[in-house]
Amino acid sequence: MNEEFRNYDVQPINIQRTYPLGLIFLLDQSGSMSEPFGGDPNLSKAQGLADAVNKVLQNLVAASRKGMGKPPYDYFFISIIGYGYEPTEDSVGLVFGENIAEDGMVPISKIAENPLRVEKRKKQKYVGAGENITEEISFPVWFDPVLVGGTPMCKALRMAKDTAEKWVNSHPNCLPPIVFNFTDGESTDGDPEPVAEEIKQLSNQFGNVLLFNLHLSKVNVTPISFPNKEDTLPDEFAKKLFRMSSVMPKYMIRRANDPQGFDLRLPDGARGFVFNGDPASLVTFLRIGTTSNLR
Amino acid sequence: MKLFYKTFWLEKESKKPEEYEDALATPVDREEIELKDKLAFGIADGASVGVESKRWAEALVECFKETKEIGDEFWKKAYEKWEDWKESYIKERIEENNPLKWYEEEGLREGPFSTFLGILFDINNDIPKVKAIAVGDSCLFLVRDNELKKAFPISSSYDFSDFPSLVSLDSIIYGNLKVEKYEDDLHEGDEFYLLTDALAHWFLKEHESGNPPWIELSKISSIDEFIDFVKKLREARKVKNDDVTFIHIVTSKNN
Repeated sequence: MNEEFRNYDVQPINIQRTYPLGLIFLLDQSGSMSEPFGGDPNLSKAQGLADAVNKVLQNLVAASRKGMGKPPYDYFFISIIGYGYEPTEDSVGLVFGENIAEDGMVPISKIAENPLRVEKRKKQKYVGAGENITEEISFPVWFDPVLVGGTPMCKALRMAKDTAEKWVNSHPNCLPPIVFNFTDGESTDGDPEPVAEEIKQLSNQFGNVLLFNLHLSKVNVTPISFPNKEDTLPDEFAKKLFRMSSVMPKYMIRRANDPQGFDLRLPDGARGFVFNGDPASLVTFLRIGTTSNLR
Repeated sequence: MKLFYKTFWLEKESKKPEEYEDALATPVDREEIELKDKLAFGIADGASVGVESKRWAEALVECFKETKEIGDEFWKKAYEKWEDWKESYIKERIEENNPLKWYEEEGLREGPFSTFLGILFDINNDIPKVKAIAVGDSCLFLVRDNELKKAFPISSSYDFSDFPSLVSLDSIIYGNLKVEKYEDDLHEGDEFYLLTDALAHWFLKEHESGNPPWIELSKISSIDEFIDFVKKLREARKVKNDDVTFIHIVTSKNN
């Protein structure tokens, strides 16, 4: 199906238990992920990414919560695939904690009940009039950063494609799943663009599977967020990731541009792509991609 | 002066009535009231992002009905009502040896969210007054002499958003509620339409197209007629599939 086909102004179907949304996260676990994130010497890219994905899982649990004393509704099914390199072979696999590891997609209720641990963390809360207070929050951790060598992105994308394809075929009346790929470097196992294209071509009645890419920066530079043109990007690697990224559906751009919400002012044709991402842009990227109309 | 009113609500399509997350409150169960002193009506739309938002929406409209005032006392009372419930709920779970899960703890810490619209009829003045307060996109429309005299707090269909202002516990504690207020003299024959966002959006769209939406709304006299009306709008995709709440209030002479 052409990528532009059925580019809905409004989300074509609300997420509900009978029509859940599939989300697939691909996490680069290569050795260079130990470098500082966005110029912050106290935060590695791997730790920043683990924190952000743990946080987004927490937010998805919160969005699925239905009152006290009840488990969350299964609005979301999630797969997390890590990719790195060990001395003898590529390592690509599911990275959920051992207690919930399974093939394919895990329902959010099961994720909610099975964090590896729940940490207590301090959080600054803005309370108006330029004032912040510190409060203690529960921070569930489902996985920790892992660092294992190279960047077998092609293999990871193929695994994501298989998972997405199975999901699309078994859920014809749901929104197509979204694949989020987080990386800090170029693929070490070939050209990832053809398999990215195969992922973007998977589709159902509501449109195509979306592939969003976020490149994590070592240094503190301004991120290039959700561009709509390739020629303004700094190098071939950035251009390749741009081409690998899906055009954002109009309903997602509309939500991102809502003045009372994210207020991003994205142009039509903006792609789900951030280059030189820093911790703040990582959080926004995940929120834009995973905030859906629920019913 | 007398008030005549009717209330209607309907849950989302394909949901059960107990899953309706709006709330409404009226001064008494009778649909005809002699206007004396003060009378309060409220509607609220509990947001699905919060925990127990329906309970919070109900606390807001009930406290407004009881306090009959639009100042800080009302918000404080609603907050206290929530805290009382929270305390007894936690105690209950401890007694049942059923500790809160991490996501329930976080839910209680973040608290519930709801829009709110309150309307107060006050005749303790030389001239009877109507006063309204609102947070978010639950709306009041005042129709006088078959003209839309006031749309409050939203006056254009383009101003609805996926992110309306909401009443949270924090916004009450830290005093940063985004409260809108409106006051007017009360006239005989004034008609008030209190609507949560889905119907309010339709109301303004119709008005912007040159149609008087109050004509159809004012004809609705039974819950069956209301359900039929909303279902037709949903089928025609003129309203989004959301909980809907409607209070219709008309003022008239004593005789």
